[in-house]
Amino acid sequence: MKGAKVGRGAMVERMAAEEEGDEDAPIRAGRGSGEESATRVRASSAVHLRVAPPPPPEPPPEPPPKRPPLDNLSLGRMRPRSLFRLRIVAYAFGIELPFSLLVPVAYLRLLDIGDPVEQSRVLMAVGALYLLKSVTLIVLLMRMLGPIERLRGFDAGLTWSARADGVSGGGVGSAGGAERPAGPYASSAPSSLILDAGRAAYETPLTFSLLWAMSWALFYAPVTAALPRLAPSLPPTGTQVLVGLVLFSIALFAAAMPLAYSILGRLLSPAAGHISLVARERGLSVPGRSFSLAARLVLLSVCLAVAPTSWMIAMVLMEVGRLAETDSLVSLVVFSLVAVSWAPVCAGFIAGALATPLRQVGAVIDKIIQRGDAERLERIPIHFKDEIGALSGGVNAMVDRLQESSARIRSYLAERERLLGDAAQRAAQLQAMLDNLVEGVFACDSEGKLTMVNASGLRLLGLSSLPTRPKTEAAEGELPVPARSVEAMNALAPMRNREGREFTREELPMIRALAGETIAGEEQVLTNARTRRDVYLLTSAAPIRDVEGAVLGAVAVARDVTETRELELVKDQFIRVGAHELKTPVAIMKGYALALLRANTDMPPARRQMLEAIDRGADRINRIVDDLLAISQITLDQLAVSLEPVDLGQLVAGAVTRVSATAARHRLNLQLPEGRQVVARGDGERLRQVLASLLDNAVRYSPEGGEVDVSVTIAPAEVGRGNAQDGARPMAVVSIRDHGIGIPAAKQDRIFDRFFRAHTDTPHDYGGMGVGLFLARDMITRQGGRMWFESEENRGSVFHFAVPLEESEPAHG
Amino acid sequence: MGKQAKRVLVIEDDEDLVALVSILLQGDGYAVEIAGNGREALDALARVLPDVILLDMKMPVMNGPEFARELEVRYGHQAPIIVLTAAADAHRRAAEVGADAWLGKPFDPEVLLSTVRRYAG
Repeated sequence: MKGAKVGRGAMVERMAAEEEGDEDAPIRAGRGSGEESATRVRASSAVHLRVAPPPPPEPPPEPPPKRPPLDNLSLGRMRPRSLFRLRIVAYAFGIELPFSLLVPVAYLRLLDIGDPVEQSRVLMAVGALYLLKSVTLIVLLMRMLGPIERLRGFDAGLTWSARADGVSGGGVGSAGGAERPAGPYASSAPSSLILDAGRAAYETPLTFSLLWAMSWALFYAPVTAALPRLAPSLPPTGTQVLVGLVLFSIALFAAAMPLAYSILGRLLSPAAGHISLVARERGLSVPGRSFSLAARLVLLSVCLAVAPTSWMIAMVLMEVGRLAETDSLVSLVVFSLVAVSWAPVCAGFIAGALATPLRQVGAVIDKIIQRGDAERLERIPIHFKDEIGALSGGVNAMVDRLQESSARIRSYLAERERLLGDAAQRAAQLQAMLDNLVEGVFACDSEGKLTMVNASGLRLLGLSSLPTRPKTEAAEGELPVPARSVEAMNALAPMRNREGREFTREELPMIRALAGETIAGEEQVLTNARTRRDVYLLTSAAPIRDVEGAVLGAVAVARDVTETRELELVKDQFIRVGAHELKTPVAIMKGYALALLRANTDMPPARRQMLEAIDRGADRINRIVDDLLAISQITLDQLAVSLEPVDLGQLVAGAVTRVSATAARHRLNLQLPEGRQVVARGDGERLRQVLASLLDNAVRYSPEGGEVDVSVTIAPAEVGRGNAQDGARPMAVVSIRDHGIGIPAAKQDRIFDRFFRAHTDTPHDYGGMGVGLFLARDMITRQGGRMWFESEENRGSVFHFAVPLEESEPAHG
Repeated sequence: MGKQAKRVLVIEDDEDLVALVSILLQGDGYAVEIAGNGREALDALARVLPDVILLDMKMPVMNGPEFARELEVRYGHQAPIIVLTAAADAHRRAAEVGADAWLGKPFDPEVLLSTVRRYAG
């Protein structure tokens, strides 16, 4: 018995060592050296035997293990894998064996069989029966565990054994296969097998331990029945002995049940856990019946209480009659040993089975709390389908959610990174483009607050940066900057219109754009804040609108045309001086020619014609000079027109008379409104210029001669395509119709363009600079009038211009 | 033409043009006095006041506007001024110097004579 005890103790220690090794491996990084394990194992086993709480978690000195920490709880740890069931059986029956050896001794004591021959006969019978029972149970257990073994077989080459070798990849997903993500628990087994294996893993402990306990309860019934033959010297079994035997059976049941259950539960729970993860990976619900932890604990407690009690009562009943005998003490010791020795074993196993999943749950929760990488969180294997299992399942679902949302967040973040990167790149591109533009670009928000000014813009303004600081006295080399607004910009570098009048706030291009106006190429003058010099700008501005059309801001683009303008000014100066210099000699030529004609009325016709030709030549030179001057002034926008009452009828008549004198082949007809003067409001000189130009064209482009009809009419304000304007006055319309070559339709659009000559390089190219109509229309427009035309090729053209009538003029005669 | 001929002071730096104007005016019976610039004209004015002044704008030494200002200062507005100019905005220039009429270059001799006739009274 002493030997047995020692053996049992060793066994327990070894088992505990195994278990401890199993449990702690995940916490420690990798497998410790054998020596290290041995040391730790001893300490842990002591703890176990005292049914103490799980050993305090060691501070992890090394980074987390590469492989999933739960792996080695799985069956995969076993090598070779085919011995899985044998291992379970060996553990289970190995642990049972010492108790099994003690029980027959107790039985002999109970019945008080003293004769050695009878003792050995009974023991042999017991032994044979025990063998039979064990073999039966072992075969049964092997069968029950079959599905688990088969499941392992399926994944042998794949995950389980690979993981057992510590090869399988870390917990962070895996390089996704093409068909489906092969997680660490991916299995190739059919779902039904997974479910069967799960059922086996979860249900076997309870089912089998009931069977086992039952076999113990009934174990001595055959022996007892055969007693008269095995031990004939015994007195016939009395009631007291029978009651004792029944109690003995109950005690055996109560002892075997928790022992078997805790051993099997402890041994199979890692497999169950593994299968739960496999099922999870497959999307299956955790198989097997669940069995409440509370019920389990109650059952175990009842057994723990019943076993020693009934054991003791049985012993007392048997020993009542022989208390004086010395053997009684031996019996007492044997019974006591049996009664107390197995409970700690059970407790140890149960504690382990409870503590492990709880510790895993705790570890996962810790990781979540420490905000570890959600991707690295492990799923908790469900060891028992009980409250802890439900808790583990819940934590697993939580981890799922966490990983989903973290994956989502990661993809959002990646998308955001990408978008931000794109945006930054675009912004950089745009900025580079803007800064390298020759044009100044300005943008403001709907409040008129400047949001962007490019480098050229700052240069135009004469600022080194956007005005941001509060207004201060201008320090040396620094500019006073009131605020970052369009108004502030204007305060620093005031804008004027072409005539030099400073803009009010409402006239600033960007403010106008904010009001919804689109400005295209208006000329403005800006005073550079640094140099205080004038900068001539060609400004365009437009509102920035959102999809609904609301104005969000405005953008303005300004081109510095100062240099161009200076060149124009130089050119204008040159033309002006040149024109002036030309005019005096022309005046001399014309004057002498006319003076001669005037003085000699009886001059021979040939000489008269010569003088007239000189006069016409002088007129032509004069007109060309006038055109050049006008073009130059229009380019600079300096062409001045005066608005005075002009007797249009008289003016037209004069022009017609002048042209008639020189156009021998044409007959000019003039038609004026009857019985009234037509007094327009305009510039007489310019109108004369326009008329001369139009009449000259009419004559020139009807080379065959013929009629030129000139008429002056009164028309309503909206005549000539325009819209009536406020206070619209009636217009005086002058129309000049010829019957000449006309203007080809394709060229009609450009007829008023500067330097455009419709008949260039045609047989009808009669010379000219291509400025007559351009100037004519410009001059008419400046007088508040309009010019338009109708023309048909080879049929002739009619040009009209309308100028406002003088106000005092009665509207209609 | 028993009456004394009306005096016209022609202030113009171009000799050919002066000659033309002189011929035209003398042909119409005016007494023509000639000045090459404003300074000379002021000297001439010191001798005798003309009935009409024909004034060029752009001249050396003293130009038209300067002369007109000086004339106004010294004699007030005693003689009508007809501005003779090549400038495009002749009428504005004329108004600026307080002239009574203007003639653009080139001019028709008839228009010159009729204008002078109008102001010579």
